[in-house]
Formats: sequence, C-alpha cells, structure tokens
Amino acid sequence: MAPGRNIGELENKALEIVKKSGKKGVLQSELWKMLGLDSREGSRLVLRLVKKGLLSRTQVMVNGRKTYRLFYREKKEVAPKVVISAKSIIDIPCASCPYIDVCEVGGFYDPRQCPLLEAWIDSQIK
Amino acid sequence: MKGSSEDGNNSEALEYFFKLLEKIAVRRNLDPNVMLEVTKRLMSNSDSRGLSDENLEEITGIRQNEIRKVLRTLYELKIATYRRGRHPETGSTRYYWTIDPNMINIFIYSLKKKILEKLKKKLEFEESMTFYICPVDGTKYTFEEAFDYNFICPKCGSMLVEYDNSKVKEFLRKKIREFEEEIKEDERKLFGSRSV
Repeated sequence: MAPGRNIGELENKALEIVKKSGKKGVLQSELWKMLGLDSREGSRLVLRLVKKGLLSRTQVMVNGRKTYRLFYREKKEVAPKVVISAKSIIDIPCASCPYIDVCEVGGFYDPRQCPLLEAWIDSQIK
Repeated sequence: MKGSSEDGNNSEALEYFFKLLEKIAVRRNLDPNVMLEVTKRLMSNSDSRGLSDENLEEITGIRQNEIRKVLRTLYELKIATYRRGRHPETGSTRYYWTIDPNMINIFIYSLKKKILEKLKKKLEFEESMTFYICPVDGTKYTFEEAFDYNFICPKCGSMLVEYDNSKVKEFLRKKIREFEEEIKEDERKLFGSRSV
C-alpha cells in the first residue's frame, strides 16, 4: 500500500460501504477487496473501526473459512439531556438559597431555625 | 431560541430548571432575565469550544459586566465551565464558556441531596425539642428561649402556650421519605445505565 495514504479517508470509505449494505452487512473479506487492501490491512482497519464503536461484526463461515460479517452501527445519540427535574424542590427556599453550602447546625445559617424554611413548612402544613 | 435548546431534553425538567435559575438569580440580586438568556445561549451553542463573554455580548446585547456576573454564579453552582483560550485576533486571554446538560443534572441532583440533609437536621431538631408559641403573633420559641422570657412573649406580652409540632414532624418525615425515593430514582437515571 502506498505510504502516506490517509487512514482516516480509508476508514471513511470502509464505513460508507458497510453503511450502504444496510442490514445485510458486508463480509470482511469482500470489504478489503473492494478497498484494494490485503487481508492483513483489511482486518486491522476493521478492528480499528470496531474499537471505535462504528462497526459491529459477527463471525460467519464462508466456504469453510472463518470471516466476519460487518454491520454499520447507528450512532447512538448519547448527547446528554436535562433529565433530572427540579419540580419537587422549586418551592423550597433552600433550593435557591445562596447560603446553602454554609448552612449547618450551629452555624450562622442554621437549618434548625431558618425563618425561611420554617415559613415554608408552615405554609405546607396548613 | 426556544427550539435548539429544547430538542431532546425533557421539557418539564428543563422548564423547572429555568424556574429554579430565576429564583437563584433573584436571591443573589442578579437580573433573572440575563441569567436565563446567558444560560439558554450557552445551552443551545453547539460549538464545543464555547462562547466568550465577548461573544455573548455580541449575541445578546447585554453588557459584559452583567454577563460576567451571571457566568461567575453559574460557575459557582457548577453549571457552567470555562476553558482558557486566546482571542483569535488580539491574542489576549479569553475565557470560553460551555454548559453541559449533564452538569445541570448533577447540579439538581446534588441540590436535592443537600436539601434532604437540611430537612433531616430540621426533623431531628423538631423531635428533640419542646416549642412554645405566642398565640397572638405566632412566633415560635424553644423551651429554653421561652423559659428565659418567663413564658411571656417579648414582643406583645401575651402568655406563651405549648406548641404541638406533630404536624411539622409528620410533614418532614413524609418529605424526607419522598426525597429519598426521588434521589434514588435520579441516581438510576444518572448512573444506572452506565456500568461504573
């Protein structure tokens, strides 16, 4: 293989091919032939992509030889979301209190005798 | 502005988060509108390199010092983080800010845990003390305080009567139970799916 060939580009090409194959998947041995690589480079390439979580593969037997069928892995949208709701604390004065981290038993701000907390409790039990 | 920050997020959770931020801003003498505007801008910013206070000023038209006040608070609350970078033209140091929704989750989750602690402390106190109340103005005193005042309200001079705090205790116990359940549920949401 020509030195200096862009691996990233090759990976992209491989991914494209596998992606196009859809649910059927592509045999690993077919993939490296399509890309013009030898089997050693081909399997290394695939392994890299599997490690990156872009491909999945299952072992299959073709003509008595072990090879892999490759599948494109849909990129899972793992983008984090706001899922924790503040609904239960929204009305509690502590939630927005600037002193919540210094408020402690025996301190200047004391949860035992905080007038705001007291007023909230009173409003809740009425 | 609404669309981009809300897609994919639990809209109820998001709504309450903004409400909470508003309250936080008010308690800290910040402009709640600036607080919300800056937060929403940072949340909808898809560029992972973040926005500097200068960028934010350009986008929102809010003065930089106002923006910085808000950013400092968001940082203090561990909602926003910054990275140090260089100004593309002048080369001077700039701070580029980002908000990760996960940090918001952790923020609310840890806030609940803190509040749970306060409620537990309060319950302990209510359980260990006898209280007196002024029937006229409703001020509560602990037994010791009432004793010092000879059981006479220092404000209006009426006789203090014993205060039955069983409702308070009952309420606190219930709240604590609810919070413990909810925090467990949140932990499942936050850490459950990951095999840590």
